[in-house]
Order: sequence, then structure tokens, then C-alpha cells
Amino acid sequence: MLKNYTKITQAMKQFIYSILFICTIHTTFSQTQELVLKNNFKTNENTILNIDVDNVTIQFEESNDNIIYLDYSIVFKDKSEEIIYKVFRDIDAAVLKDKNVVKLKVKNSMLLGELYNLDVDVMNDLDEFKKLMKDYYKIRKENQFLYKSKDALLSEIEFSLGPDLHDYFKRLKKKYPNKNFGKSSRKFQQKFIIKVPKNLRIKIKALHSRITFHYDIDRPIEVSTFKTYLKFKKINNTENKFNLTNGLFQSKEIIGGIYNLKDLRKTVIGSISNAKIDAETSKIQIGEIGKNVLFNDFNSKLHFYNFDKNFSKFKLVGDYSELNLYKVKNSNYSMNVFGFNTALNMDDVKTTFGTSKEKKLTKILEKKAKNNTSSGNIEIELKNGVFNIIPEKNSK
Amino acid sequence: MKQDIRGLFRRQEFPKKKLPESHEEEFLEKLKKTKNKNTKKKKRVSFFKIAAVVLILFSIGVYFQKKNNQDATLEAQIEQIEKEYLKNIDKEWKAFINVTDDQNLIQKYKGKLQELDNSYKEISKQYKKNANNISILEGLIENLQRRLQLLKNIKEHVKELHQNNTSNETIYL
Repeated sequence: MLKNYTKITQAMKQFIYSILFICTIHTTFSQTQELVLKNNFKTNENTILNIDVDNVTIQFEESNDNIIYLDYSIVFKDKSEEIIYKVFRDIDAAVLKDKNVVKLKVKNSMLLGELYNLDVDVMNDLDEFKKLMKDYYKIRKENQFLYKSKDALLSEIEFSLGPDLHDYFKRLKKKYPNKNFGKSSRKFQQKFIIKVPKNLRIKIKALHSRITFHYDIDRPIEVSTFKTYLKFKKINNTENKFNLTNGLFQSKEIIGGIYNLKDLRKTVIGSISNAKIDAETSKIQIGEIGKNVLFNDFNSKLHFYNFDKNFSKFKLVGDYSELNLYKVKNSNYSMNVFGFNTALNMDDVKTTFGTSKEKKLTKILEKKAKNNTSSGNIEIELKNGVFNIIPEKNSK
Repeated sequence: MKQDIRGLFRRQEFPKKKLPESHEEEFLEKLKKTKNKNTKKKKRVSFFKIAAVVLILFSIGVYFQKKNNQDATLEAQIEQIEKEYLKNIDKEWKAFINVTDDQNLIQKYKGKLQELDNSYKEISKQYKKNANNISILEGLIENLQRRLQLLKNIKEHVKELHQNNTSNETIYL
């Protein structure tokens, strides 16, 4: 892949020169923080926080009283009036309380967006950077079918900044603290902290944003996002509703709710129970599947690493899905896999099952629980699927 | 209480000095002059900076034709990148429909590409408002990359279904 990078020709050079000449203008003023919005609202148990945001980075924290605190400012690396002027020109933020609903509306332009903000200076050493990128793709390929325990996945979520590439550089910085990776060329950063009472109901509509929750959510939450990076600790309510398109979704624990995940580049869930997932063309990793999980999928890449000791029942219906199951042979569950036109990859042998003209589901695989002490039953229906039973050597 | 950020901005008396109507044009003109004053070395450093950023963006290689038109505008060059990507997307699309006869699948992907195209048009509007902004540009390129990656993935998936070994007998573990 990197070979292609070297094929950047004259036309590309011109393009590159033109694009960021603005970034070569250096100013040497000191860092400054400019306030955008600061407000607070008293709440009771029926208050709803309704947020509708574009191109915002928000950190949600728990408040110790019944008050919502909103504190939004922009931190500028240099006190350049021109940059501050341009940024504030593209901010549109307002908050009000109507009856018992606190409404926050932020409609920033993409100039404020922070989805792509890599926290290294790529010009620091270009050859080294190329090497690091090459290593990144190599490691990613090598580890794509590596087993992960639930705890390992929880640590990944805790550590994660969002995209895998960002996490890769964060890991490198941690591994080599004395190495100079430089700093991001970004001139400003959003700092938006919303402190909310734990029992507050929250509705979120977001576009091109980063939203992180630093507390466990027990009240119902509704989330509808497009191209947004979401990170949660525990989400626990049967009324939860998530409609996510594009972007990333990470949660340490999910109990209850309905989750529609479409075109998500990265979904990492520590553990899940009593939930229904409808997924489409997404990459999904789950550390541990618990009780009553239903999964419908179209064309996603699914990695289910472990099942809880007492998960009792799990059902997956997939069309064009790639299902990767780990530690299958040593597990203590029963499993029935039905399929049509589905490739099974087991013990380094690939076989296509159920290719009859009738296009009927046939039983591809049956696994019995060991010693008649089943931890649960897995029912899988895969049409046009790829089912990888990952060898135990990857599971150590 | 509704807060208008522009109101806050005014109350904090920022900018300290009132900017003239033609501020933006003058600013850009100033930048242009500064750019012209830059040494060759500085341009080289700048090139590496951007080239490296682009390395991240172009995780799916794009082949650029050699072109010596020094006067080509930025817009034309973005169009060139777009054109190259669309050419590759079209190539992948043809390869994909060549390996499957599932019309439902083809329609589904047609819809996905249409959605991504609509999203691209929205980002393009933002890019017109904030030209030269690397974040927005990355958004545009990521959109094109995503289309290409989706098509490559589904093509590979369909190919994997066609194994030489076939069976209709249940495996017991």
C-alpha cells in the first residue's frame, strides 16, 4: 500500500503546496482560552437534556447536585486574532430551558471539527513516519484475528481516543516517552464539559462530533448520530435507543436497549446483555455476550470473543456477514449453525455449504455442550456468510 | 435562557479592534505575499508536512497521472483527486457486479453509494465555505475512501463464498 504513496507526482505536490500554505504562517503568541458558553440549570427527576450538535467535542461528567453545568470554550494554541476570528465566526451555540427540557443547540461548521485530529507532527521525521505507518498496517493485519479477553477489550476502550490510528500513536508515545513525535499542527481545541446529575434523561442528536461519557448511565438515553465518535462506560436501561450511522461506538458495558449500527468503522463493546442489535456493514467486537442478546446483521465483520458462563441463549441472523468465533472447541455451550451459500473456515480448511438450487437453509454445524452442563445455546443463521472458527493458537 | 455566542463575543469586546469589511480579502492577500517571500527550504518543509498528512489520508493508493501544468488551480487539483477516486470506485463497482448475480445485494450497495455521494455533496458545501481546511478535506477524502473500501470488502466476501470444496453434510463438534 505504501508503494502507492510514493507515486504522488507533480500534480499532487502542487495540490499539497496549495492546500496548507495557510498552515505555514507561524505566529508566536501564547496559548489562550476563549469562552463560548457557560450556564447552569436546576433539574428534577423529570428534567430532560436534549442536545442537537454539529462538529462539537463534549465530555459528559457527573455533577454532585441537581444542576446541569455547561462550560464551553475554545483553547487556542497561539493568540492569533485572525484564527480566533475565523473560529468564532463558525460557531453557533445556544442553550435554553423550556418547561422542563434543557435544550442545547450547537451548529458549528466543519472548521471546528476534531474527528481527524492526529496528535503528532507528521513532518517531524517523514521517513520515520512512513515506517511507522507501514508498521501500523502490518500490525493491524497480523492481529485482525487475535483473541481478546473481556478485560483486554475493557482496557482497549479505556485507553482509546477513537480511531485505531490515533490509538496506535498514543501507544507509541507511551512506549517511547523520550522519542519526539512532535505535536499536532492544529491551532485550537474545543473544551466542552457538561456536568449532569446521574438520574437525568438525555437525548442526543449529533453530527461529526466526539462525545464521551465519564459516568455510568442508568436512566434511558436516546442517541441518534451521523459520523460521530461515541464512548461510554456502562449503559444500563431497557428503554435505551441508539441509531448510529458512520463513526465509532465504544462502550464498556451494555445492559438493555435497541441498537441500530450502520456503517460503523469501529464498534467495541466490553460486554452486552438483554439487548437487540441490528447492524449493517460495520466492524463489531464484543468481549462477552451475556443473557438474551439478539443480533440481526447485514454484511458486517463480527468478532465475538467470549460468552458469559450463564448466557443461556444467543441468536444471530446474518446475510453476507463475516462471523468470527473464538475458543469454540473448548467452550461449554451448544451451537447450531444453519446456512445457505456460506463458507466455513475451520482447521485451515474452507468449505462452502448449502449451495443447493432450492436455496434452503441447511444445517452446517452442530456442537454439543461438554458434560451436559451447558452455559447456553447459540443459534446462528447465515446466508451468504463467512464463518471463521478461529484456531486455538490465536486464542492464547 | 437562550445565549447567542455572537452576543457573548461582542460583550467580551473581541476582536479588540474592529475588523474592516474587506478584512478577509486583505488577510488572504497578506498570506499570499508571505507565501511568496518564503524560502525554498520553507516550502520544502511545508511540502513534507502536507505530504505526510496526505499519507494518512491515502490509505488506499491513488495513482496520479503526471501533469506539469504549473498554473493549475487548487480546485482543479481537488477535482483531479476526486476524478481518480471515482475512476477507481467505478472500476471496483464493475468488478463487484461481475462476481455476483444477487440483484438485492447490488441494489443495496447502489443505495449505499448514493448515500455516501449525498454526504460528499454536503461536505463539499462546507469545503467551499472554508477552503484550504485540512479537516474538511480529510472528510471529503475519507468519504471517497469509504466507498472504495466498501466495494473492495464486498467483492472479496463474495469471492470467498465460492470455495472449491463444497458440502451439504452437517459437521459435528
